[in-house]
Amino acid sequence: MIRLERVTKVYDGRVVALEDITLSIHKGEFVFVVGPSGAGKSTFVKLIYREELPTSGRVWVEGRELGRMPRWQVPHLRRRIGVVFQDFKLLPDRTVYENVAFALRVTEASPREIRRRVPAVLELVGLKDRARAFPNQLSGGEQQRVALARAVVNNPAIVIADEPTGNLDPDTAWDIMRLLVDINRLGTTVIVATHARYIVNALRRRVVAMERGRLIRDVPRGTYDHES
Amino acid sequence: MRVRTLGFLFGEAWRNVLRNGLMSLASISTVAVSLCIAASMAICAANLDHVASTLESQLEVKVFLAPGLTEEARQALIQQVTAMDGVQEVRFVSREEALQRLRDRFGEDSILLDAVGDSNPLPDSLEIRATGLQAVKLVALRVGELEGVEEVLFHREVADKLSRITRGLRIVGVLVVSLLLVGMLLIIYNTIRLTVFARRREVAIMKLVGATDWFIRLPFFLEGVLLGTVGAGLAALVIRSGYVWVAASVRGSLPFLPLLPPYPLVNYATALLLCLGAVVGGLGSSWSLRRYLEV
Repeated sequence: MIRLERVTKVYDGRVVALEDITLSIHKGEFVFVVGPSGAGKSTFVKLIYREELPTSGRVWVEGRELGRMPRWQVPHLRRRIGVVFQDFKLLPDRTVYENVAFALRVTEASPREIRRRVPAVLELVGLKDRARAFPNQLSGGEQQRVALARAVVNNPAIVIADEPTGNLDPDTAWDIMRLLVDINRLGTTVIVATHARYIVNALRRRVVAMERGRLIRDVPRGTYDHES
Repeated sequence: MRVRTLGFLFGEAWRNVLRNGLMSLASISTVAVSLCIAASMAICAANLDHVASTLESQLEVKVFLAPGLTEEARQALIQQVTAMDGVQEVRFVSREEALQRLRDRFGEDSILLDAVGDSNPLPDSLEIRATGLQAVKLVALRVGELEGVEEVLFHREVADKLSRITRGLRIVGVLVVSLLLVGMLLIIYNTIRLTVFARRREVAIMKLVGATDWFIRLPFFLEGVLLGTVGAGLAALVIRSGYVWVAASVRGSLPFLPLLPPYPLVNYATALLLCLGAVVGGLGSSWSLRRYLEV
């Protein structure tokens, strides 16, 4: 489903963000990408939704090589991938409902489809009764759940979360992580770049560890640090 | 593209216009004022043209006679003129008749006539109708050489003068209008640039959730078109009522001035203004998007 082959990413011709990464992620997997800041986690996930292109090497997503994908097809790739960020990236002047519906409007979904899907995903993330609230009236955890709802409302094949719990307290972080696990159970491939050691260690999923742009460890049912 | 998507994107454009309230107001009023000036100049030029060609088509030569001409000399003059080639009809207008005409035109107690008082400053005159446009000039030339003729006036001269003025006005007009168009373009360009900056978060999110390029661009483009068209609409309103009013009052006070009738002129002007506003708005926003919106 996702494959990186000998991928190197160099920014501005000097900063090496990723070096010679080869790795596959299969449909329905749940993968933690861990490592200190600057290890290349963000660059790694950006390559998957084609925010960045590799300097060398190749990236495939759902059988398509992204380096050869024409520009006009990129939006269609992105509709198959839901992305969640540390800073939520919600539109402050729109309600929760509109923020989620936005992702559907972009795909020219019918009004009926929107009326059906949006309440359903808001229910999934437990925010059905906050639909009319604006982002600044919500807690951080609630905002992240809105972002998560927006990421999955299109029924994407892949959900990518880049430090989704970075701004949240541990309890709220757990709520978000549980939701990601739920989403994964429904068959969606989930990739989470994170610092949250306690979560990684508790969930025991596949762990891809990176350091200074290199892949240093890839363990199924792994932990944050080297098992000792 | 589906109609409801277009509706949604139009709604987004409208949101932007409202959200950028002050800037939108600035660009709408700039467009409105610019187009008002441009349209007024165009209508003035069209009317001068019209006056010139109307005068040109009037085959009349007016001859003012020297004061103190004897009855016999006058009769001889009239006979000479009547006998000329190209002359169809000669009419003698005495100074009393001329004064009466003025009274009829301006009304009995006009300030102009008050100034004249009891004295009559008008000379006797002849009105000569020529047989054709070509003949007018010839007749005017020859009559001018006759004894007892003080001045020859024919519309061709006035018409020529008007044509020259019109030409001048056109050149100035084209210059002024081009400058105004550039101004409109710039202000719309800048307004859209500000919207793009104001909405860069939104644009980033749109890209992230898989919006196509045109889906992202269209609201901005429409915003520019909207600003241009609304401004043009205001200008059209002003021009319509303005010209109808001017035409009516000119007809009232200067009935001999052949202005273009307001309808359908103002309808054409409205259509033209709206198109121009939309086009300038669209161009301004496209230009801005090319520079400031990376999709």
